[in-house]
Order: sequence, then C-alpha cells, then structure tokens
Amino acid sequence: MKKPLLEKYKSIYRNSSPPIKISLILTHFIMGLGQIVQKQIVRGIMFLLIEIAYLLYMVSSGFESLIGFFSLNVHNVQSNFSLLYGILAIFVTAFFVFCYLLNLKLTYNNASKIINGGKLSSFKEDLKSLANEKFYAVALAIPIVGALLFTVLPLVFMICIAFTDYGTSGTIPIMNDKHLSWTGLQSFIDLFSNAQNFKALQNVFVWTIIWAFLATFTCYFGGFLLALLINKKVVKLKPLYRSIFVVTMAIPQFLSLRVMNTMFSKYGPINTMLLDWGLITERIAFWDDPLIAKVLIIIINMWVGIPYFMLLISGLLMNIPKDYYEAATIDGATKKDLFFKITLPQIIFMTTPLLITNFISNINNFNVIWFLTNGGPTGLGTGGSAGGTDILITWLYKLTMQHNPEYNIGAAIGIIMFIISASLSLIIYRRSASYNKEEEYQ
Amino acid sequence: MSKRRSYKRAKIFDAIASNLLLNILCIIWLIPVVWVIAASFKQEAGVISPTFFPTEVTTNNYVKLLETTEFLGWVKNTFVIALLNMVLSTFFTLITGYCFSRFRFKSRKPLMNITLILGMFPGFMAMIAIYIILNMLGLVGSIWSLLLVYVSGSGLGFFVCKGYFDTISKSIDEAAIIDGANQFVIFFKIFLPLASPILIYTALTSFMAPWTDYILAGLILKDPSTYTVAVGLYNMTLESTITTKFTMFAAGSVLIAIPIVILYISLQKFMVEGISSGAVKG
Repeated sequence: MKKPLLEKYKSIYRNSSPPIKISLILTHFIMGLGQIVQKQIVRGIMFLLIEIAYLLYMVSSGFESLIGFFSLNVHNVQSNFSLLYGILAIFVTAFFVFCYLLNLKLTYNNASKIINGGKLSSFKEDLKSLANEKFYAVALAIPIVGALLFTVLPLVFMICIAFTDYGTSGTIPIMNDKHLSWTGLQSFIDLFSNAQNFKALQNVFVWTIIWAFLATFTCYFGGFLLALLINKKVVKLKPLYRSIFVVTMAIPQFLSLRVMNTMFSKYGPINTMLLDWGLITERIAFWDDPLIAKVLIIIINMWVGIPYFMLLISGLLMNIPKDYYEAATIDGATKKDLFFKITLPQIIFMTTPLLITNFISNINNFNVIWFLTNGGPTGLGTGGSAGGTDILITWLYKLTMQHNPEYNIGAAIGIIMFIISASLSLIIYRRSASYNKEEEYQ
Repeated sequence: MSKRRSYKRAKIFDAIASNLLLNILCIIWLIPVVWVIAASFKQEAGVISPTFFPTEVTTNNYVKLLETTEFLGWVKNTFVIALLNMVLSTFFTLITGYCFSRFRFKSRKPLMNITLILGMFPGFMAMIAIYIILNMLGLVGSIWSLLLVYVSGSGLGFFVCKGYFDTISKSIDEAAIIDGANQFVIFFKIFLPLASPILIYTALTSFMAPWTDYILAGLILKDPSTYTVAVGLYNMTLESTITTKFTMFAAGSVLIAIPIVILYISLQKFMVEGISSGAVKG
C-alpha cells in the first residue's frame, strides 16, 4: 500500500509546474503553506494555526507530559495526573500526525487536479460540501471529541493503571501523592497468585455467570408469559394492566431496590407479616445469609425486569402478521399449533440477539446487586474484599471507589471482564443481521 | 349442543382464571409501591415497622424532608440537568445515528466497531480518570460536570437510532437532495418528524438518566447543596442513616416517582416502539 502512494506522489511532483513544486516542498515542512501558495488561503491558514497551536502546546507542557508518561514522575505533578497528562499528550500528538498527513494528501490532490486541468475548490465550495456530501464530518465532530475525552481517554488511563502499582490509599484516594511506577503484569500475577484474591475471583466469577444466566431467563420467560396473558382475548382492560406494570418500570431503580432491601430487612414488613401469620417464630435476617440473599436477588430482579420484557414482547406480538394465523387456521391448525409453530418461533427468532445482549448487560448489572445488598454479606470467607453476593462489577466498584482502593487490581478485573463480554459479543454482533445485512433494509 | 356448552364453560373458566391471575400479579407488583407510600406517612422515623400499614398517619415526613434537607434544591439541580441533557444528548445521539445510517465513509465500519468495543468495558472503570479530568478542568463538585460527561458520551448510544433510520427509505432523502435540500434541512425537516417514536424514546431515556445516576453523581458531588435527587435520597438509606431517615426517604421517593410514573404511562406507546425497534433492528 505504501509504495504505490509514494510513487503516485512522486509522479505528481515530477509533472507539476515550478510554483506548484514549491508548494509541495513547503507543505512538508510547514503545514498549510502549500495550500496558501496554491491559493486556498483559508484552508492553509487553518492548517498553519493547528501547527502553531501544537508546537506551542509541546513547548509549554506537552513534551514534559510525554516524558512523564514513561517516568510517571514530573516535577510538581501528582503521579497519577502525570500518567493522564501523558496519555493526553499522546492523543494530541496522534491528532497532529493525522492533520499533517491530511495536509499532505490535500496538497498533492490539488496538484494532481491542476495537472489534469481541473479547478481547485474555493472556500465557499468547501463549506457547501460540508453541508451536503461531507455533512458527517461536521455532525460527528462533537460526538467524537466528547467520546475521546470522556470515554476513550479514561479507559486508556484505567488500562494503563492495571500495569502500575497504583494500589495503596492516601487520605483522599484519587488525590494521593504516592509515586507510581510501571510494574508490568504484576497486578495480574497478584490477582491470580494471591490465595485470598484468587478465591474471591473464583467465587465471584461463578456467581456472576449464574446470576447473569438466571436473571436473563427468568425475566425473559416471565415477561413472555405475562405478555401472552395480557394479550389474551378474554382479558379486558389491557391498557390498564400494562400501565400497572409500567409503573414499576418507571420508578428509578435505586428507589425501588432500596425499598425492597428495607422490606426484606430484619425489622422490615415482610418479617413482621410472616411473624403475624405465625409462619416463623423469630425474625430472619434474609440479607445475612449468602444463599437466601442470592435467591432473593433473583426474585426481586424478576420484579424489576419482567415488565420490560412484557412491553417488548407485547410490541413484537403485535408485529407478527395476522395472515400467518389466518392461513394456518384455514389449514386446520389448533390453538396449540398456532402457538408452538408460529408465535414461539417468531418471537424467539426476533429476540435471540437481544437475549444475548441482555445476558452481557446482566454481567455488568451493577444496580440490582449494589442497591439490594451492597454485595454483602461480608466476612463470610468469600475471599479478599469480596462479599457473598458480589458480582465482578460490584467487586470492581469496591476495589476502586471504597476505602483502601486497590486500583491496579480493580483495573485488572475490568480488563478480564472486558475480555469476557467482548469475546461473547463479537461472535454475536458479527453474526447478527443488523450488522451484516444493513444495506438490505433500505 | 352439550359440546358447545362445555366449550363455552371452558371459555368462561379461562376468562376467570386469566383475569384472576393477572389481578394477583398486579397486586404482587404493587405491594412495594403501596408499602413505600404507606411508610412515607408513618409516625416512626426508621425502618422498623411493627405493622405493615402505619397505625397513625402523619405528613411529618414530608414536612421534615422539605424543611431539614435541601430536597427542593436537589430536585431543581436534577431537573435542570435532565432538561439540558434531554435536549443536547438526544440531538447528538440522533445526528450520530443519522450519519452512520445515511453516509458511507472510509472510517465508518471501524468507528462502529470501536463504539461496540467501548460499550463492552464496564462503565465506571473510567470513573477515576473522569474525576481527574474534571479536576483538571476545575469542575469537580459542580453539577455542570455531570451534564458535560453525559452529553459527551451520548454519541456512543447511536445504535438504536441508526437501526430505526435504516428502516426509512432512502428514496425520501434522494428526492429531497434533487429538490436542492442540504443535509441540515433533510435532518431537521424530514428525518426528525419521521422518526418521532425514536426521538421521544431517546429523549425520555436521556431525561431519566440524571434522576437515576448515583455512581458518577455520588463521586463528583460532595456538597449537599449540589446533590442530585439520586445522591441525596440514596444517602438517606446508608446503614448509618437508614434507622433515622428511612421514612423521609420514602416521602422523597413518592414525590419523585409520581411525575416520572405519569410521564412513562403517557408515553407508553413510544416506549413499546422504542424498546422493540431498538431490540430487533439495533
């Protein structure tokens, strides 16, 4: 790929007239000069300004930041800050290189246009193309910058943290002035070789998978059955029933889950009710037993999740063409046939991708576990800092956000979680119709 | 004749059983809601409840919530952020979806793949770095920093919209281009009206985000006067505060939940369309 491009540029250069040759040479050294010579003045000035800004940044702090990325030790800067500044400097430099290459490409393209007797686009025409066929460049600029700054940059930072010794606490954890250093794979080794940590990892991992599986299937089939029930012909007041279930969807999760936690607490109303009915003789601390807590989590999650699937599947049921059923009925199909041969396969076909994405989002379902149990009960030998109902994500939260944070271990767990969900989803997205056959829709 | 009668009887039985079952389910689903409303009118302050329903009814919890905490301030903070987030995030999400649906450019597939990959990292892995960045910008402790982070991330949620836009026929924009419309006109005047279900769905979800986000808000907001509702209310249910503040929390929950529930029920139709189109096409 490289060679032909180089050859092409060489031949453009050879065939150009002397002033254009000068513009091509200039543009290699100072961005934008080529365009200015070629009389695309506004474009040229923009490139020139980018170069000046970059150089100013590098001289004032960028260069120091770049070095700081490797040494993690910059005068007067907190160690974790200098890591972040370093990554930022790498980003800025990458952007500058991109601009530089773009500048070369545009100048050579112009030159080749001139050779072929074409006319260069004026600034006005450039603007016009940005409102039309190049609209995406304008529209995507802000979303991309936003994502780079607040999603990509932080993630790169955290991935880097996994390879440092950022583990001991200061007074305000994030603002500590401990000096970090690069430690390679040490945190992964710590995670797997430290008996406490490894035991915790095993326990938490197994429960995460069980949880994600049960949560997905109970809610999916629960929602399916509920949707069928509400859609029955004999049920009047369908909108009312649907609305009642939507109520529970609308209440912010942290509210309803905190309420649930209280209802099942030792002195909460469920215990009171059971006592009154004589079903138990003394109050049970549901949340102190890991097994009972886990069962409760699954059941309460059905309360949260079933309405969502009910709405979704209700929507899909309406979309199944009526003529399927009519044709089948004429052919003598019974109600049972209609359900098992048409409804069920259709719904399952339509929702399979969703089921799998739902499974993955349950692996990352922080809210339900955290607001119900805080990952507790603790101190029952789950290992390390993990509690009895912690899943990977809540454990990660504990490791990074609570007292005595172990950022590097947390980051290592984050990377492991990423590998799990990434490998699962890549398989799915690559196979899904919306990814492969998107042109067919339009 | 008798066969017909037994068929009829079975049908009646089915009707009764189905409706009964639904009623029971509705009751189960509403118990926590009813209980929290009841608890908000309770005399005692904590969690401990000798009876399911309060024996004495009082509005003290509401009065105390409004007088001793900055609840109204929290509501105002959250509402401002939610409204601005709704406008800005919805705009960026939709326009990103539009670009990926309508344009074919070199970096399109790579960008879509990168977006998918980014979505697979556990979200708050990034929190610490976000905190440092906000600190760098001098925004820690300010509610505007929440808006900044929400809006910055909104472009990444474009898949549902893209899926919806993909189903709108290309001949519509081709016709508009022939008539001399530029892309701004096509997006605002043609696509947004056509995509109203997904527009409303996206607007609703982005409006709701600040009301439910505890993690980021809890990390950034330290001063009670800057709290959002989620942070303020959650802090009443910590182990150290729940015994004295639970009924106040219940009162706050009721006040917050009522408008949101009304909003959801009135926009139910769009929810169904948004959820199912997002699930199947996105």
